[in-house]
Amino acid sequence: MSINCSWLSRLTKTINLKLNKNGQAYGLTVLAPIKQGQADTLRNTLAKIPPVDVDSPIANIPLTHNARFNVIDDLPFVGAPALYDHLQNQYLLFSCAFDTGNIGWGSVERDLDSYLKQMFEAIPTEINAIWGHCVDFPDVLTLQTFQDFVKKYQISGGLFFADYPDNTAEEVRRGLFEQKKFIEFAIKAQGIPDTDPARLKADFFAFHKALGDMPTPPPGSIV
Amino acid sequence: MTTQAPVETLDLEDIQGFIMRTYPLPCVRYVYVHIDDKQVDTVRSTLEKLTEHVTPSSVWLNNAEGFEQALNIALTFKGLKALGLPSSSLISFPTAFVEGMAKRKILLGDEGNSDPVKWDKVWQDSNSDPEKTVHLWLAIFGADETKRDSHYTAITKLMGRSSGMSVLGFEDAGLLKDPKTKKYLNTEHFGYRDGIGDVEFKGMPFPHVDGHGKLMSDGSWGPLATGEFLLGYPDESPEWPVAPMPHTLARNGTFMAVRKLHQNVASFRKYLDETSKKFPGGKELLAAKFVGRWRDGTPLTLSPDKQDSTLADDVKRNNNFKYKDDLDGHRCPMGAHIRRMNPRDAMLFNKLADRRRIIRRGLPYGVHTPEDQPADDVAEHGIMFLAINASFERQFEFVQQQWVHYGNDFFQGDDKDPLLGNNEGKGKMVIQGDSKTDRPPHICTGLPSFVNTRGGDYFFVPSLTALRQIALGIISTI
Repeated sequence: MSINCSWLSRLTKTINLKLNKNGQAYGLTVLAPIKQGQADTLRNTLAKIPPVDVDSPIANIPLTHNARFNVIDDLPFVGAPALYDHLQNQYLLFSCAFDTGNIGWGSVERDLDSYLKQMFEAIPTEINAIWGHCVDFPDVLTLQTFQDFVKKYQISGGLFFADYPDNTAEEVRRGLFEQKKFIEFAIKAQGIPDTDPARLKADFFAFHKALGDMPTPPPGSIV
Repeated sequence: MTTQAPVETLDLEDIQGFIMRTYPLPCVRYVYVHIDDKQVDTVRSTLEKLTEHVTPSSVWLNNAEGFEQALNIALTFKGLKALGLPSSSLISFPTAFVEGMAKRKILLGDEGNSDPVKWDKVWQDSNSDPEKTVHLWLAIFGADETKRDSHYTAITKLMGRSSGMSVLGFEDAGLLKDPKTKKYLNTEHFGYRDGIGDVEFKGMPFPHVDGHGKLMSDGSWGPLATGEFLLGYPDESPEWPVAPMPHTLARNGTFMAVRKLHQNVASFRKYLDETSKKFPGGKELLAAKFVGRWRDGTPLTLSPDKQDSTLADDVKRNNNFKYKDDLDGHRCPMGAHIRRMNPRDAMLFNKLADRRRIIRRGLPYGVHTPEDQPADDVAEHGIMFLAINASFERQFEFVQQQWVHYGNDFFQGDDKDPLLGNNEGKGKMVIQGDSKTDRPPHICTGLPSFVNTRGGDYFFVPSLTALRQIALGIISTI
């Protein structure tokens, strides 16, 4: 038995790139068909990738807010009666949010190109090891063939929600870092008597100046 | 035709009595029993005899008057297995219960000095030696030590040589006593009044009291759904709680986490003494800010500036408060213990809090060290903590993981509960200031772990019907 999902294909067939932006953040969704019989090897490859923290290969793509790979086997409806909308293939879903640094839809094509360029330059080995299991993956991986491949299987986000639509990943990391440092300052400042506001002011300016010189924690780090 | 669930009429003869309320019996002995699974018939017959002595909730119909001794019992998953429950029933129990408490240590924050490898011997043995697994938990209560001891003697007689059961160890607990006057105190080892925040659910044999149940949309208080605390009734969702099969095994039963929580009395007093020197409100206010109540039990939300013994003693008022006028925590800090345990209306949706309630039972163990006497962290001071709920995963474990060991739901980042959190010297708590009086916020740092876990496990608390059916060996899912 199969449910009628024609509405779904109408939604996803024409890529409306405007739907992929929320503020300056871009939501990239790629559904690439997996080569017959390679899903288990692909799962094994994904399972061995460090998932979080600075060790993740994704940390080498600093524009990234978050990213995930999922292997999709089929579309079951869990309920009664049990239904399937069978997929013709197993699919590899790549879903991520990245920074474009600009608001508006005029540059959506260029936004994606820039991100894929950063990705291509940072993790070519992983791109090969992961998407190499997918149909139409280029025999010779170049920036151009990679971008073409991703765009071929890109779908619209439809309802893209960004945790931080207005701030870049680096700004978020910086914000969390400064908040942490400010708490440390506030704790120290508790030792300054109320009668000495000048000292509090001087200490704060000193703290503020020192903070400006402190480096932001690297991408992927948990602040 | 379907109807809304009516007000539950509970079969009080069938439900174990300690679930409803703390007995007016100040002394208890918790007994840990091993079952010889090679003697299933003998063991079942022993369980049948024990069941005859189990105290049901019907004792509350006359307010437990003239009541001097009580017995309640509960079983671990391994205990149910040793009693020969069929696999078809065993596999229907929830994963957390099957795994037991030690295996859930990361989720519960039982690491460092609370790690199961550092627990008391009886619990370490239980987790490592199949001959010493704790299968059965007995709570033997008495109006005084003599009555408790005589009941213990009578009950353990049933578990003699040919009973298939053997006592692995026991732990005495009870209300603390003033060492001079020998009178009972209503506080625990840190000096806080205990046993105020009881839960009210539908069908309890007590008159309604505001502040114990859940907040209704019109701002009044109503009882929580029975299914949050007893299996076989709709819960707050409202659905039937996930329960083991068959229905007669689950109905009127519940789940209970038993935790031996050691209290580092010297560390607590030292921290309070030293930190309060820098805290403008002084020592007693700092102690109150940790918990959300003054040490005599007065809620900070109702009386932010002073203890009020009339209010603290009034059961109609001492739990009857909301956080709606204190959302920024200027009275009760947003990370205070009682606000974490039961956030009431402090979060965006009250309903979230209604799904995370637990019934808290248990009594202190160890000898009270008065404030003017030197204390140390080594002496046996603590609480035998019992948390009763329909779902470990949704209730006890959620509270322990998200609300005791994390602070995001209360806008407190990764700050942990100041009292219960596994803070290990790195803990932090923000005591919010008051913009009206210009009182600045105060940040407490370097919080040690005031409490460490020393043992415990997850138990099933069967109904009387279920105990008898287990004893008869007639539990069947077919």
